[in-house]
Amino acid sequence: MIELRQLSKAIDGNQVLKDVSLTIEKGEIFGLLGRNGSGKTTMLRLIQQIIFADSGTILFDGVEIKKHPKVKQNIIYMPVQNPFYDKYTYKQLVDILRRIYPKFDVTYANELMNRYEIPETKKYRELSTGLKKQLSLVLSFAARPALILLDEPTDGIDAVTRHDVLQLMVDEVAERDTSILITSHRLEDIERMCNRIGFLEDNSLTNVMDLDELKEEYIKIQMAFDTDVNLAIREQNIPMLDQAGVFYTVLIPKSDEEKKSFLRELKPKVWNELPVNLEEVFIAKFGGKRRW
Amino acid sequence: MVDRGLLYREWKQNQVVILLSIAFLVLANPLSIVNTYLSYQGCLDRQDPQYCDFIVNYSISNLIDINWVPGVILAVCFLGMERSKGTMDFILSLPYNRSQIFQTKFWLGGFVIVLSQLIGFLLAWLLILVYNPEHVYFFEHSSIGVIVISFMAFSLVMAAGALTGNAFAQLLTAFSAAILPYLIIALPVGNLEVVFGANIWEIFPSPESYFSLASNLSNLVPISYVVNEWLINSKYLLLIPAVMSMLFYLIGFISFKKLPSERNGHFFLWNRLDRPVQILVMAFGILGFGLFGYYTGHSIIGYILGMIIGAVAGFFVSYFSIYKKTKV
Repeated sequence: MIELRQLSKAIDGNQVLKDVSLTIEKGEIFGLLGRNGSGKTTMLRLIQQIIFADSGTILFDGVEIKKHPKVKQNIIYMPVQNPFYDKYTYKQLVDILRRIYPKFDVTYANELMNRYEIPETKKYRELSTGLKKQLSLVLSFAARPALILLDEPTDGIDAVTRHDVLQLMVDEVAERDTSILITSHRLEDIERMCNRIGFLEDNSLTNVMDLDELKEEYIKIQMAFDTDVNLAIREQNIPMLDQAGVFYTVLIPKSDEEKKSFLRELKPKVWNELPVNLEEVFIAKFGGKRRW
Repeated sequence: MVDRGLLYREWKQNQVVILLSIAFLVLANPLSIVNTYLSYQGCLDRQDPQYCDFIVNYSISNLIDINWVPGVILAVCFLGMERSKGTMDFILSLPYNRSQIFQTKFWLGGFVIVLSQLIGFLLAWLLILVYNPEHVYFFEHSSIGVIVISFMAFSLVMAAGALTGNAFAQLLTAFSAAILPYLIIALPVGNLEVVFGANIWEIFPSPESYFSLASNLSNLVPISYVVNEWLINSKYLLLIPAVMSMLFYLIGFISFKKLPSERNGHFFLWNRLDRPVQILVMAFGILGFGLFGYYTGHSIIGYILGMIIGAVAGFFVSYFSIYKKTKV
């Protein structure tokens, strides 16, 4: 589907991306994580040719996008804000976009507008942040792209709207096999949607992982002790998620029998093994250093 | 070359300014004639007919002399405003290459400017037939000339827009380019006159040859075409703005294709222009203010003081306009 080969980009003398390679397959939802300024948005803008890479190539179905920009009819980029939409109503935007994207499905767009009860007569700028995101998504999906690039799609919206926005994306992938490349600070959103994730850190894409496999690697253990064992646990470099009095919650790799034995030797009064979520995995994997 | 979808987007984005430009450019020429006719009728009502002439003379100040203004406004809306408002990213994300985007913008503006004025010219011609004035001076020359000049103004501001990252920078660059030959030639010459205490025309065989050269050089200054003195010269003089239009088009086209768009909001899209242009601005500030200082009191102290003020002003103006990014 989309393939990034050895992509590098410097902006105003600062290296933002260096030799980044990534492939996203059909129907895949890929979550791109990274701190502010790590180059997530730059990567999306490079794919969409808003800016040009200093080196490297971007291929869509084997076709280089830079040389054949028409293939962008299959790729939609939804930025955090889209000032172009501001002065138009839904109908006007449809009128513009259907002339640019030949596969634009007006019936499907209308159906989604009705389903999510988005006002059709208001100008885009008059809508709330959540409705703006939903309208942008509706227009993006109605263009029938094969790949959607979403930059922080759940940023600044409430929990209910976020749920709707995420559901819209999940439905689209399920129904049409659309691929999605999504950047987000919210690990819970990434966890809910993505098949694979990757980290942009120090100009490079690192830790590209399958999400389910990743979660299977770790186990969360809740324990209660008679004595203070905090120092003993830390000395073993075991990531501690929480400590409340005599209760301790730690994370260890499922296969790490040595650490498990060590904890058992501390004679806990309570021992509960629980599944982990993505945030906890990251604390374990990166030594408690929060990177998002 | 020009895609329909892209053309429609440009039309929707700039609908109001395009319609107003068309309205002005179509009506300016016929309204000038109507205005002359009404003045003539007013004269007939007030005075004896023997003292009233119905003469249409385009060498006298005319509404079409400002037909270049819509060209400038269109170019700023097409590029500078798009960059300043942050809507340029949306266009660049669409399934078109940069050549198509520039061509669509350029030729949409070009057609608005040329076709509207041709319609205006036709309407004016019909009015002349209907009103049948006693004399018509410079009608074709002026009407066609302002089309060329407004197209040149549009091309110049489009080229400036392709080089710069916001509307203010676009206008400032276009204005600077419009007076650049003057800045490069006349300012240094004026300063040399002050330093050596001589008049430059004295080294010419005759004052006439000096003024002839100065006049010819002024034809290379784009801003000189804002006033209609070109009307009294040969019609072939209009070849200069026509060639300039092509040159500006090429500069705009290549710049739009090649320059990095991640610097939207900055003064120049190509950051290597920052330092040389800052040095140029300071040099012009020193030379310009120096001359001004000298001519206020005809003293060397005034000249030196002017240069110091020019250096400081040039530094700050260039620093704040070139190096400070506008919020996008």
